[in-house]
Amino acid sequence: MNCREWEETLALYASGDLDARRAAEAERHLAACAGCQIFASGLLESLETMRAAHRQEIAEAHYAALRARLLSRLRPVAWWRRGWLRWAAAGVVAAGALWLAMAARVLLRPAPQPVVAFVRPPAPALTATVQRVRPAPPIRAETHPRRKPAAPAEPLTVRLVTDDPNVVIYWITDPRGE
Amino acid sequence: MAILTLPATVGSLEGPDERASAIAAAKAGDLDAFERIIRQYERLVLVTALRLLGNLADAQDASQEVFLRLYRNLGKIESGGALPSWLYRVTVNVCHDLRRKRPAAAPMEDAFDAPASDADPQQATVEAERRHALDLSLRRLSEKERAALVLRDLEGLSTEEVARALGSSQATVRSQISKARIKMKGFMEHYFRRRA
Repeated sequence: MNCREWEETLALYASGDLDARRAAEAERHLAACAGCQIFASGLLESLETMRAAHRQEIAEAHYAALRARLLSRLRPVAWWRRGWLRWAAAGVVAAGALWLAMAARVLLRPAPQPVVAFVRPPAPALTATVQRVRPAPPIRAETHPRRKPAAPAEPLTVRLVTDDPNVVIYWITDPRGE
Repeated sequence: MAILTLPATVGSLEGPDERASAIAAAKAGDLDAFERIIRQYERLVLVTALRLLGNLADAQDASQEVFLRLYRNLGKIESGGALPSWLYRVTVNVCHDLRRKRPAAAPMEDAFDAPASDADPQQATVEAERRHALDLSLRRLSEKERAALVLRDLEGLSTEEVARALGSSQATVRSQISKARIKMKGFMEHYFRRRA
């Protein structure tokens, strides 16, 4: 096994990841190989650098932020803070306000003028019986009776005889004086 | 050879009994108990997500999803001891899903504590350099290599635990870890040689 092939074994040996038999082999090789001693030394140094960097603490504020996020997700939320309930409550309030506005509009409207409805009475049913109706006597309401047209009068002829037999005078007149 | 392992969790639930009672209370709907669990494991989840994703905003989104999944699956967690393993596995899966949905990450420099006003400016510069080098080198790894290295070398899980979290065999994980370490070494040396 050349030194290149020892690298993986030494990388495990550096943190005690080899069983006892292989660890003993690695120690024997290290004791005899200067190159692998340098390699193992560099390996340990890089591991220590890594661990020193890892030991540096994360700022407490980051843990606090994580806790706050987590607990806010887990703590039960009061019902009035729940999102959907808030929207539902807002909907109910809006519907109530709309209803009140409509009621106020109806109640505050000026009284309308009474409307007379002309209702046509239903037509009487036709009956098969015929009643004899005595004709009403003529109403004589004439205060100025009209004169009955008179029958045409005979013209009145007056014959006047004179002494002369050849002269006879006829006088025809209307007896109504017209 | 000294092996440096890091405490994966920093929180308020010290003993296993306290952890178990917090889990039981959270299962019964006690959100305060669940908050204690979050505090116990938030570093584990957020830092792992940050190393896997390379971006704080994405890491926070992933962490939130991990804890939400935990809350929904509390009934399936049998004991407090099983919880870290479960969280690592879910964090890796969530980060994997997020990485597929979102493009490459932005730098993560803003995630870390600002140096105190009386801090040594030279030391602050060195630390910033290390963070930058770590961030860049992790980006050069494949997704599987990165996950294996983060869990094994940064979070200090055993090879067996890493294999369980990644759903792989231990042999595969060892291969991924060794390749990742060699790549990291090469990048770090190149990075700091250029800086020098």
